[in-house]
Amino acid sequence: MSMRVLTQPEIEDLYRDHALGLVRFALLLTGDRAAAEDIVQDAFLGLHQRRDKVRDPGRMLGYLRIAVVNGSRSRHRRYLMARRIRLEPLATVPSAEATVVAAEDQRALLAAIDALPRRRREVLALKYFLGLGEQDIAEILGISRGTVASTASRALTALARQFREEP
Amino acid sequence: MTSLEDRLRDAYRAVTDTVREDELPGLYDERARNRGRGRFSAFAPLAAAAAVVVTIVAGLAVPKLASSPGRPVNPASSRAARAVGTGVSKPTAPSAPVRSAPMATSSASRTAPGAPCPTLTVGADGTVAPLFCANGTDNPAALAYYQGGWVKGFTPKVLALPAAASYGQVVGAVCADIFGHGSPMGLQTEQQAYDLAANRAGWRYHINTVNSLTCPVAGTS
Repeated sequence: MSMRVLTQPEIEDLYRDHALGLVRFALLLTGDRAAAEDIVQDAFLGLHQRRDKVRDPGRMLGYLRIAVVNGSRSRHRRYLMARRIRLEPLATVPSAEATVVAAEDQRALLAAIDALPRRRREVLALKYFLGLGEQDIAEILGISRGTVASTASRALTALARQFREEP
Repeated sequence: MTSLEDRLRDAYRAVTDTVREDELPGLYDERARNRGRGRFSAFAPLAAAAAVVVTIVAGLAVPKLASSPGRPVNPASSRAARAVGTGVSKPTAPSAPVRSAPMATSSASRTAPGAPCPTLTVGADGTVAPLFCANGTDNPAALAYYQGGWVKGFTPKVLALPAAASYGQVVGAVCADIFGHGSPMGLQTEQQAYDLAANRAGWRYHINTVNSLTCPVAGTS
């Protein structure tokens, strides 16, 4: 397949269309807003520097997601999302009391996710936040499809055990 | 009773909804870890106190001066007033403007409170505009563009020079940027890097990379 140069406007279009989702995704992986923004900017900088080696412009989002995962891993530091991030009230809850209960429930769930091994956290975020299928997750994480399935299953089982629920 | 998977999605949504599109930095903006962490931020309270003192003194002094015969006070005559009032502009439009960098404006105004800069545009040749804000300071987005390695991962040496750099040091850095092995800097982009550095450092060396730059040849004195 021939290579072509990704133009600056194309990169800017990608940023406009996907920066928000990528920052949110990076936030789930790092728990740190500033780090998430930096990781996404670095991902686009990497794309810019390799823009003359593009084989398939349609796969740029996949490349950016991989860069975000790698950038999050290289941060080394882990943050407790439930402690650092202020939860917004849900739009559909009926009362202030229910809002507090729901927020506490989510905080506990996020703390439990944060305690999971790194790969399980990544698989859960890719599957339940980005809504990706096993094949896409496998390509982003560089693992087999079977490993994605088993990792997701183990992560859900661990969470369910903690909250005494069916996975 | 919602399933664990649904609760996961809700929890993720609650976290990620804290990031809003209008709060995102622009593509070329300064890195988040550097924003709001100026080198002299520890002196901010002192600077604020000094500003209050200056304001009070000025408030007392100006009416006194104004009442003095033969000494009319013209606020617009001050250098600061000229800079803000007229909107300092330098002819730095990119040779082939393409389009606005997305969401650059909101963050640019965050990095330079009170001195909003127009949205950064990037030309097809890699030059950017505007280089300067309305108050004459370097456009943070333009500075971040060059310092952040957006020109093929290269950071111009001229931007790393101290304010006290001599004419020879500046010319040497500019020439190294342009003619250095593997350097991606062109004459136009290097001129912009020099203009940013010169404006920040207050240099008046009048270096013109496009028309009148003479670089020393290795081996000659």
